[in-house]
Amino acid sequence: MNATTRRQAIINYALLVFFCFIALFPIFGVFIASVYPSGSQPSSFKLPSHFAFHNFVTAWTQGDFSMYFRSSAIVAVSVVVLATGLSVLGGYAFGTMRFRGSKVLFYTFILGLIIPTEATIVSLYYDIRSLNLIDTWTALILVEVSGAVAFGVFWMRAAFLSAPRSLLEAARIDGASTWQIMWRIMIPFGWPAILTLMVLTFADSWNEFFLALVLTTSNQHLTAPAGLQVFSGKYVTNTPLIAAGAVIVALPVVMVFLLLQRQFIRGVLTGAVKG
Amino acid sequence: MATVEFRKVTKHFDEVSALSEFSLDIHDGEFMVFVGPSGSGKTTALRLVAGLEAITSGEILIGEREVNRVAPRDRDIAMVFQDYALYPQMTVEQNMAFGLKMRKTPKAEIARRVQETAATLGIEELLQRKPRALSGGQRQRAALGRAMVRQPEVFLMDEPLSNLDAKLRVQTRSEIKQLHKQVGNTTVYVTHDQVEAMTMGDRVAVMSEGVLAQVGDARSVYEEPANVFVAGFIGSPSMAFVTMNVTRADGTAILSRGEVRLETAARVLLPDEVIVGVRPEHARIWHEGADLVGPVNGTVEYVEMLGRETLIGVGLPGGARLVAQAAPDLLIDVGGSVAIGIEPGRMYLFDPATERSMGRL
Repeated sequence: MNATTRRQAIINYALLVFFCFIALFPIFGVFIASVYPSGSQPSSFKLPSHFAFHNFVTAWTQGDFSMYFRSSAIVAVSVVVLATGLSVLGGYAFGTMRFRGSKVLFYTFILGLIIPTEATIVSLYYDIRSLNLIDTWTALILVEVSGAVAFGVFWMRAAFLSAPRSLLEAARIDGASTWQIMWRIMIPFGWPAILTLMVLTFADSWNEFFLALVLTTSNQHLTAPAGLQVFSGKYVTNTPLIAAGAVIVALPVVMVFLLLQRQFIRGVLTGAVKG
Repeated sequence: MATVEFRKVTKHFDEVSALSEFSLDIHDGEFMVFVGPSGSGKTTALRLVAGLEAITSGEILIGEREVNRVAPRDRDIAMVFQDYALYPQMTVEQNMAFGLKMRKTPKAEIARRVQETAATLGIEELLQRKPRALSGGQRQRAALGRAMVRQPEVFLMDEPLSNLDAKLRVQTRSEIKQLHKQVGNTTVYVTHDQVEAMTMGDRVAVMSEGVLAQVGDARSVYEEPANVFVAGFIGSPSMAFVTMNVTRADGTAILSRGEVRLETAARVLLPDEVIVGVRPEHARIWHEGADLVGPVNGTVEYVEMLGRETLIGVGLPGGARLVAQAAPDLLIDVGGSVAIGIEPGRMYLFDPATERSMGRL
């Protein structure tokens, strides 16, 4: 290794460590705060004298997190299943078929990525109310699916476009129908991208706060992040307990990512390598 | 088995014409090679037979049936792609069985045919491997196997050897030819490699800019090129061309260009100007008493020692060039002068206006 390469490596590592620190410090801070004795004033820079792991049990029971988790699980799983299914169908059509108006239609989908939820929330609220869906999981699921499909179609189109066209053509000659080509050839080919999409959609849906706050009125239908808001309102001075609640809420997403990280990274790289 | 017939087939991609009024009969059981440079329309013609592109006008018949609007899966064809297009998530066995499964062939029959085809190709031990675990040559065989197992009426092959190294390519092309002899299916094979075309094809269709330039067996295409394009494209090294003036006198034709002057018996009727084409193997170092037309004096521009022979690039006065073939032990310096003679009857003549062949002198 010559001097220039060595210096470059040092700079690269220094930058990576710096950004890792920026990303991980708040998470570390929240976790440390969550194990301070209940009612004490935590510090992110200092470990507590003893670890109060019991805070998690207290937060779970007192914050009704089992109820919020149930809501979140119902919403997130439904959103993942519906959004992934629709995104695969949309992405397959845009990525493998030539049809009139496909460009216009695709850019219409992309609009969903550009327009923020905050811009449409008021009209959305009235629409949902007119459908008698306020304070239902259905409302949350429908609105979140519509948002997730915008990104999902964009993502799956790119994944299917990276498949060699000859694969589709070989399958057509082999006698496969459009539907069979999707099931038997393209979905297995795009599986890493589909898994990545599922992880991203799950994380997005699980962390959704704003919609749950606006579209639900009872605690029964609140999702975990919105429930955490209610919980932190009750224990406004008890930082360790609030931090324990935050850790509980964040845990499922972290676990899903840890379980699927290899496939997630492969999925992200699929488009990057094949262009 | 079946014939394949193109009847005035035209294909446009938006404003670009990829194939123009293309007509050709491919006989039952024939190995037909489409050869031509990039953009000549050879792959388009193949894809039209496969049904992967729609015809703009004209008709394609497989057997007696017009297939213009028939879906690829109903054409009873199989295709080997340039990149092999093996399904990456499936084993070789599953790849081979896929087409039969889609056609609802009974399981026992699928297993029997896959085993039989694998044995023919010598790929039994590869059946449980996925494409990523195969070398280029093995992938090529697996792709051939996938096509063969279907026992289609027509085989279509789109430059299937172009991703193989030179040695494997030579080996595989003779194997494909051998397989064709065994199976006997009508085969349409696309390549840009004229050596591949000449060695494999029962007949060769030379294509240029979407038009069929000439069709015939390898010998006729080589010996009697229909035009300047075919003469230049077929043969390696290429035929050299020189435009010359013609003077006729007493049954003799004198071809001249600047200081270059060739006198030969006028066996064909010639206009005032012709394009003269000479293949390297017909141009040799001049020596007195040789049965050659010439001499033509020029300067040695380059010398290529190929082992079995030596090629000499000769610059003629006035800027024209010839390539001559010489014995491998010939010692000659670049920049020196050299006299070349041409075998009688081996000067190919073309009309400068139409570039069509006018025979040989």
